[in-house]
Amino acid sequence: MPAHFIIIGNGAAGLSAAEEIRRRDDRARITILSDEPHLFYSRPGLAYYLSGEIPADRVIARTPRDYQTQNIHLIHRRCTDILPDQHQVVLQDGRHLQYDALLIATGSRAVPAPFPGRDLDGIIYLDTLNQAKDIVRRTRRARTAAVIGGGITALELVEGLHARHVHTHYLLRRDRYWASLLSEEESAIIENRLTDMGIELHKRTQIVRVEGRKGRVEQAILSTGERLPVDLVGVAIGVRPNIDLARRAGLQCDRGILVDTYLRTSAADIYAAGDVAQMWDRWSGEHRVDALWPSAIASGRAAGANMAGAHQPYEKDVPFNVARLCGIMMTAIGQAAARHTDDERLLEISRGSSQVWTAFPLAKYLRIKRVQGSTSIRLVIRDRVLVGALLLGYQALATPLRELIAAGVDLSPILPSLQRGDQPIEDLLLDFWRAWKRHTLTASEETHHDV
Amino acid sequence: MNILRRLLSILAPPETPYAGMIVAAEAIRCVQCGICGYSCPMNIDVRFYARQGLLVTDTRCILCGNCVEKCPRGTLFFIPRPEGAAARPMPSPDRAVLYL
Ligand SMILES: Cc1cc2nc3c(=O)[nH]c(=O)nc-3n(C[C@H](O)[C@H](O)[C@H](O)COP(=O)(O)OP(=O)(O)OC[C@H]3O[C@@H](n4cnc5c(N)ncnc54)[C@H](O)[C@@H]3O)c2cc1C
Ligand code: SF4
Ligand code: SF4
Repeated sequence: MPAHFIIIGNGAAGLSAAEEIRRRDDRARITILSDEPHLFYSRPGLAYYLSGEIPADRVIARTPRDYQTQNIHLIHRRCTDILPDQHQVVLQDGRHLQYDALLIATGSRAVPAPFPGRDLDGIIYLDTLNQAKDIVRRTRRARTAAVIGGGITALELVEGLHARHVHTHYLLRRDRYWASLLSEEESAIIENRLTDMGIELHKRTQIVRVEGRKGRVEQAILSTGERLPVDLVGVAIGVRPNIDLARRAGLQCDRGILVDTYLRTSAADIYAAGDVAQMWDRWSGEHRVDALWPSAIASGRAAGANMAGAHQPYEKDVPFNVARLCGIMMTAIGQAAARHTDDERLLEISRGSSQVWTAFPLAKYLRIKRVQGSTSIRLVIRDRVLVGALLLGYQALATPLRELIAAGVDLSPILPSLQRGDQPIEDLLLDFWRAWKRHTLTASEETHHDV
Repeated sequence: MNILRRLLSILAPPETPYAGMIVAAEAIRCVQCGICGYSCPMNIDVRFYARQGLLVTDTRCILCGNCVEKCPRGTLFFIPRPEGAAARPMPSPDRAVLYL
């Protein structure tokens, strides 16, 4: 009997695992359990459906044929229990299925609204295709909306509602957009765009409660005392990994399901990957959860390989994220956060309209940035090594920076020029990266010849 | 809709500044949203290539650049067409950049 691999979740991690298992083993039985009624679709793509750039069916990224030709059996049923001792999963219809190896790839879901009134009709989240369709339906009648949350999803909700002619108020808990990642200038670039679009920004403002009529959202009461008449309230204040199944089965969990470097959970033959898994992260030196598409794909693939017997440790790549914020492309790579704790004093250099360069000899982190209009480049350097970067607008540096950060390359040769700011940062970095790339490619080719 | 767009593009092919080029993709940026294929007048499944980091070797490609322009993630870009590209969906984009 060929081995039976069961995967819970038909998302980025689950499907990547299934496809990887099939690539390695053409006899294996592969079953995916999904509580969503669709074939695999692009969750980030939901934002572009909401904004009207593509119809709903276009986000679906696999055809029934893709499942058939790879002989991946998709069952549209929720898994209600895992029985690790029996090596079985229980389906919502009561069926028990036997596995040889199991992958939990149940993803994450939006944190529920924190205020009274959260159960009213008109409180919306953007997690699934069905929710996105529901939002689109509601925008036909809705005239005004409020959205809370930092990050990408909140902004995508704001942009989507705005694109569908809903007058939108965007409430920020702090005094600027995405303060935990972006620098002040970067936040300002996005905020200016939002204001230009006609979005009403409310800084340092929270929703205290939402009041309704006949069960429907009618007004939001704000921390400023203001009463905002609204038809919809969008909530995107973070995500929570779907660990309930694993918890009930007695698997070790923290924020997510704890896995080792082979993506194995604490139970025999059970793996976890994607948003739900809490994996070792060499960058922070801790087990961390991610909610990133590229991480879900990579970890899903790695889990699939290991389930099929590869026994390869999975090393998390540099955290990497691309997003489009109000039409401006953003790439965040590595330790890109602009915020820092008190003991990490920062050096800053800037050109164009931003602040003037000041130096602290004892600083641990060096921050180099260039802001010009709605384009910005920011580098985070530690002990002369590039550890993080954030790009707004200009994207040609994204690959070079990702590679330099992943390889932990010493920037010493160009550091003085970068700090002086007497040459364009882009040219310096591109030339440096090209030279480094040529060198590493030649070196690796030479090793090949030696063999 | 697609058939109409396709007909239009065959009857009046847009001028292309991209002769001798080919569409390449950086897979790690791709979120499989499908905008590229949706904006392609030839109805090419660009996402299929993009998510695997392959060159868009589909012979129907008229190099109009729609997919490159519309991709919300900056995944797609033109590179000079390497020899034999149609038969060989090869180079990794970082290598490709070195040609430029
Ligand atoms: C609107 C939006 C925008 C985003 N934008 C970005 C972005 O710009 N960049 C980025 O990197 N990431 C983005 N993300 C995050 C990205 O989509 C996720 O990191 C990724 O989808 C995680 O993949 P996954 O396979 O781990 O989980 P998911 O894609 O969440 O898939 C898990 C699946 O498992 C199912 N499931 C859960 N429990 C069960 C059960 N008991 N039985 C059966 N099925 C179950 C779920 O319904 C779901 O279908 C975005 C997400 C959203 C929602
Ligand atoms: S538009 Fe860009 S991100 Fe979307 S599927 Fe195509 S290449 Fe990937
Ligand atoms: S360049 Fe034009 S024809 Fe070619 S794949 Fe892109 S959209 Fe299609």
